[in-house]
This record gives sequence, C-alpha cells and structure tokens, in this order.
Amino acid sequence: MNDQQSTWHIGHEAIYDYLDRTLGAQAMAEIDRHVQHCAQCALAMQEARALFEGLPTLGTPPLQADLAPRVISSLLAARRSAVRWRWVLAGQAAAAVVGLVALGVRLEEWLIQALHDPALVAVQQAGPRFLAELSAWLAPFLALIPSLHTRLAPLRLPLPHLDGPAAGWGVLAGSALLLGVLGNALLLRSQGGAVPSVAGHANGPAGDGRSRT
Amino acid sequence: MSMQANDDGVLVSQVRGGSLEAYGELVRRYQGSVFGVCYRMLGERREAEDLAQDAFLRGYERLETFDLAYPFGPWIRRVAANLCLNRLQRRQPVLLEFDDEAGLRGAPPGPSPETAAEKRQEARAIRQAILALPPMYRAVIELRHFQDASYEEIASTLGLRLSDVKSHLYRARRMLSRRLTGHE
Repeated sequence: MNDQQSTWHIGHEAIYDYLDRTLGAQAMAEIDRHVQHCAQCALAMQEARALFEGLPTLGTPPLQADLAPRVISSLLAARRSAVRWRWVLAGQAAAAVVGLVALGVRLEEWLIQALHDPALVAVQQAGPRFLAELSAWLAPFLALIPSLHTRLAPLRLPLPHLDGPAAGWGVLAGSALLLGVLGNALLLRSQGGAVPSVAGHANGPAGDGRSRT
Repeated sequence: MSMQANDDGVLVSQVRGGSLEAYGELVRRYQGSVFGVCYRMLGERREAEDLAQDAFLRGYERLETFDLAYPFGPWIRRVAANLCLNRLQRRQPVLLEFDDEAGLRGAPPGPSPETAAEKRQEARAIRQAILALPPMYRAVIELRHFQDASYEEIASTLGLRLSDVKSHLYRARRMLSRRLTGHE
C-alpha cells in the first residue's frame, strides 16, 4: 500500500454506501481497488467496517418479565371499557331520541294552540290597520321633502342636492331610523297597546303561549 | 415467506378474529427483540419494558394495517422504535450510560479473559456513543444496523424523506465514528 501514490481519497459517505451495498458494481470495484493502494482510505474503511460490524453484536439484558399477561390484561380492560362505553352511548342515543320525540309533540301542541291564540289573531288584524295609520302619519313629512331645498335655501345651508331615487332611499332610511327610535321609546314606556302586545307575544315559547288575551 | 412468518400470519388472522390468546403468543415470540429495541434506544430497563408493552398495545390497535405478506417481527419492532423515538424527543437528554451494563448479553465471549474484557470495553464505548446521539439519529441507527431495515423502510417507519434518511444516517455514523476513534 502506498499513500503517496493516491491523489484522491474516498469520502466517508461513499465508504458508508459501499458498506451498505447501495453502490453499483463498478463503483464498488473501484473502491476495492483504491483501498488496496491508499493507506488513508484503507484505515477509514477499516474504522467504518468495525463500526458496522460492532453495532449489531451489542448485547441487551434479558427481559425479566413476561409481557404477554400484562398486554392481555390491558387489552381486556380496554375491551371491557369499550363495551361499557358502547352501552353508555347507546343509552344516551335512546334518551336523545325519546327527548326529541317528546319535544316534537310538545312543539306541535304549542303551535296549534298559538295559531288559535286570540292575541295572535288580534295582532294579525291590527297589523294592516297599524300600517295604514303609520302611512297617514308619515304623509305630511313625505310631502315636505320635495320642497325641503326651496324652503331651506334662504338659510344657505350646504345641503346636498336631494331628489330622485337618492332622496327616496334617504327618506326611507331616515324614516326607518326614526321609527326604530320611536318604537323602542314606546316599548320602554308603555306596557299596553297594540305594539307591546305584539312584542309580548313574540316571547310566547318561553311561556305557555295562552296567557295574553 | 418463511415458516415463522407464515405462522405469524395465522396468529394475526386469529387476533383479527378476536382471539387475545393468539396475540399473547405473538407477544411471547417477539417481546425479547422488542425489548431489545427499546433498551438500545432508551438505555433504561424499566422504561424499556414499559415501552415494549406499549408497543404491543399500539401494535394491537394498528393490526388492521399490518400486511400479512410480511413477517410480524420487523413490523412490531418498527412500531417500538417509533414509540421510543417519540419518548426520546419528549424527554431531556440526561442519560449517558445504560443502567444495566452487568446484565448485558449477546456479545460472544472472547477466547481469553483479556480479549473478553476488551470486547466488553468496546461494547460499552459503542453503547455510550449511541446514547450520546440525538433521538432521530439513534432511531435511524437502530433501524438500519439492528433491524436491517432498508432506507425506504426507515423513511416509511419514521415518516422521513429518503434524502433525510441518508443524511441522518451519514451524520449519525460520523458522530459514532468520531466518538469511538476519539476524533471529536
């Protein structure tokens, strides 16, 4: 062997691949030839080979306990637990079905009663009348809007030019806002009259649905 | 397929049919080698026994994924290696020595007491070098050198890319080699 004759050396990765036998036949043969003439690579190969051969010969202490009974008892316990859970889940599912059926029956009864509730009937009748009164109440305001610009002109306010669809939508939005505020104020102040009666009945399902007549 | 593997297949089929006794037989067949995997990777007898038991429980849970065309032993040992890797990645790397050096077996005794002592010293050095490896490197060394797993099998077992398996193996071997030759 003559180290001086070698101008290159085998990398460790190639040595490991060689020992793993993952190289092609030509590469393996080339490495075989090289290590015969290169002391450095021969030493690297020898060290790697010692590692490869030494590792699998490492001993382990004997297992002192038989694991089979422990594994089987764990599996049996898990199986019993699974069976128990299956019954629990089946019971819960059955209870849920019974509950849903009972709820459905109760809901149906309630709906039938609610549809014949005099309060609801009264609200149904009062609705169109309320809307008609509201329209009549809003009419002067709506009539005022087209002439708003002319009336406010002497004040020289920087108002946007309102007419056409934009004016219509603006009026509607403003009216809705105003109605909301007024409606809430009425609800807060009054417990009687048509509007609170509707609100009160809307909460029907929480009560017995028949109390307000 | 070998006789043993064929026999394992019969037992696995019985287990799938609900027989726990058949699984007990599989445990008895492979508990030694599974414990060996755990012990080499963890270095503690008690912990290795616990993990070996866990490996068999995990194996039972995943038995549906086991391909009857292959032997049961390598499969359950890879399950164990994976469990050990998970355990190692969670715990602090404090252990640098196997806890039961006196009870080790497997290395053939040398022709003379001096040679035997030398062999024991070498084995001890290798074990310490293995325990100094990071968990993933320990796992690839275990699978390649003790389980004789191919690169592809290691990649599949540990959920790694083939290129990562190669680079982990290379680095692990370099670390072992440097430790053992004192060229750190």
